[in-house]
Amino acid sequence: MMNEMLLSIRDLEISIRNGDQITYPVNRVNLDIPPHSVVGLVGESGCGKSMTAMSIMGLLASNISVSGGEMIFEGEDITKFTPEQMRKMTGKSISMIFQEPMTALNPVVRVGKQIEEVLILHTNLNNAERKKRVLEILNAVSVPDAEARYRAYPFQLSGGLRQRICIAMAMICNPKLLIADEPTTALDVTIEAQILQLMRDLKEHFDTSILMITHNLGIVSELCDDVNVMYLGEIVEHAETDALFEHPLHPYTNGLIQSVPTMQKKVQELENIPGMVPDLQHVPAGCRFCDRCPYAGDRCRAEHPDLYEPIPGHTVRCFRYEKGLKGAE
Amino acid sequence: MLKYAGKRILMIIPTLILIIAIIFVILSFIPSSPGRIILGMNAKEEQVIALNEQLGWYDSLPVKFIKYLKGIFLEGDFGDSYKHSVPVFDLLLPKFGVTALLALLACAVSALVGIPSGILSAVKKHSVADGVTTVLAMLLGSVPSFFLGVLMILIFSLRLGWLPSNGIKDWTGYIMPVLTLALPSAAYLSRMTRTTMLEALEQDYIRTARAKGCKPSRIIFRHALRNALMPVVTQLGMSFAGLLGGAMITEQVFGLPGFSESILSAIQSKDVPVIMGSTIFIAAMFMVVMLVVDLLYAVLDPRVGAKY
Repeated sequence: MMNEMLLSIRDLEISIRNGDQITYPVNRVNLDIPPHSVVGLVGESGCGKSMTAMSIMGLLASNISVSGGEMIFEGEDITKFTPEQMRKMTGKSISMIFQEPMTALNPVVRVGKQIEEVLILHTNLNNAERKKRVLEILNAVSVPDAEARYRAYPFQLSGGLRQRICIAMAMICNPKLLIADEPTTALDVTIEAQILQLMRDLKEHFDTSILMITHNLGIVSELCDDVNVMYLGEIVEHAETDALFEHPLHPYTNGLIQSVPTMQKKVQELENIPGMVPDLQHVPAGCRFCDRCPYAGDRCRAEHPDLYEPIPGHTVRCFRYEKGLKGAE
Repeated sequence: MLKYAGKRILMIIPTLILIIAIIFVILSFIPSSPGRIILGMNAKEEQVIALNEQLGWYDSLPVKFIKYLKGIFLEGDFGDSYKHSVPVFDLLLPKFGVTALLALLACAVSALVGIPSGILSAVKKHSVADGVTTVLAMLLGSVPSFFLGVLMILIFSLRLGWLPSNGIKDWTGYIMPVLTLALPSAAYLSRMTRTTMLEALEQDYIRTARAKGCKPSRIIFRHALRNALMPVVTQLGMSFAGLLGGAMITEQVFGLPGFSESILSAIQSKDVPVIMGSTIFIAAMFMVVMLVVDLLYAVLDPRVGAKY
């Protein structure tokens, strides 16, 4: 099972050093990305999902480091890579697109040159070949009038086009894995739909796996094969997308799904999860969700739950499922 | 871009006329009589009046101003010095050369020292190199330039005898004046570059560049530097004004035959054409530098050029 995975993260722990204080924004996270699939990583802001993505790319700030666990990508543990090895991999085998297309591009460099830079770094193509490839990828990400856009500066393009440029930049070396960190959060909904469609097409066309980081469950249900729900640095539930939406097990996942407004039912007040995400210095001793959980009992406050597998392929971090599904009733 | 450059160059003409007008009006308030200055204290009053008449001194202010402008723009004639009876232009040009060279060299040196040291201390933040540059920058930035000049004369001329303390017989005469002028300005530029560089390195596009697999050196020079330099270039232009002013003091310290001596003696002897001429020279020089800065800015930042 393990060696089939494109990327397999085991017991990942990330620590932030702030003076004498050390906090752990990501705690013993396991995450599997099979080849040719879209895996969702869902959670509220600050739950550690972006941090996890950054650690895969080796983009953590200098006071943040991976302090435990391993990340096996194509049979090699990338947490042990030297900076040089990381640079050879990122942008080529694993690439990333970011939340803010407005600021993710260098304002003073023509976008064509910015895409081309990836080829300069990772291939031996000559000038003419590089330009040809850039124009090809611009067409592949449906940038209209590619020849003119090649010479444009970022400020001359709309947000949607800029995100397409970022996607082109990420896809040009035909990566095995694309990490998308809330790629549509900054865009309006019509553009969002176009970008999601584009990512779906590219996934088929380039045979790339996608790690989709989002807080938008709509995107997850539309795009992802697998979902991981993250809360306060931990994976609290993992399942296939359909299974998760049909039978959400963890109270947190349930809360997330309940809090999505729907067109069908008109409600007076939207369901929400009571309370706030505690900060990392005040992580509850037991289950991390216990302060906000309607089912929390004494054991939840004292003991930290493991991941249980009440249904094959569906894991959840909650004592209610310790003895299978029946416990919850 | 070309359109921007054209517009920017054309803007110089009205600015220059405005500056000339302001200086002209202010200097016209000085109670003086050119005839008396030219002919001396012992000349007869009739002779003085006759000469003033001949020079057009009794014309109304607008008439004199138009005449003066015509002289400058059509014939390149800035009038004659009252005291030396030679054309102001011929009198000032060689001296202006010395001052301009001093200021330009100082500007270049301060950029060549300040910007790289600023980059270094930003990239190696909190390192020994950063600490050393910071302390040096504070020290040089807080010492007045004439003191630095005197100190250098003491060490390099009197103690070690390496450099001349006075005049410019050859290029070695420029070394100390240029350094005196450049170092405080370099200190300021260094601090500023450090700040803008640190800011640029935190931008999202730097993260994008790292995600592409760029080496640190490529990130610094290809992606961060150009963005970080924009405010620095503006500052460089502004500090040139300071350098022109500072050059006057430095010239006095090192006894250089520059602008300062002619301006000082002109002011003392109320030699109005020379005062006018030197002010216009300095203003024009400053405008040319600001023009270069603005064009450079448009080259660095495509957003500026695209607006026109």
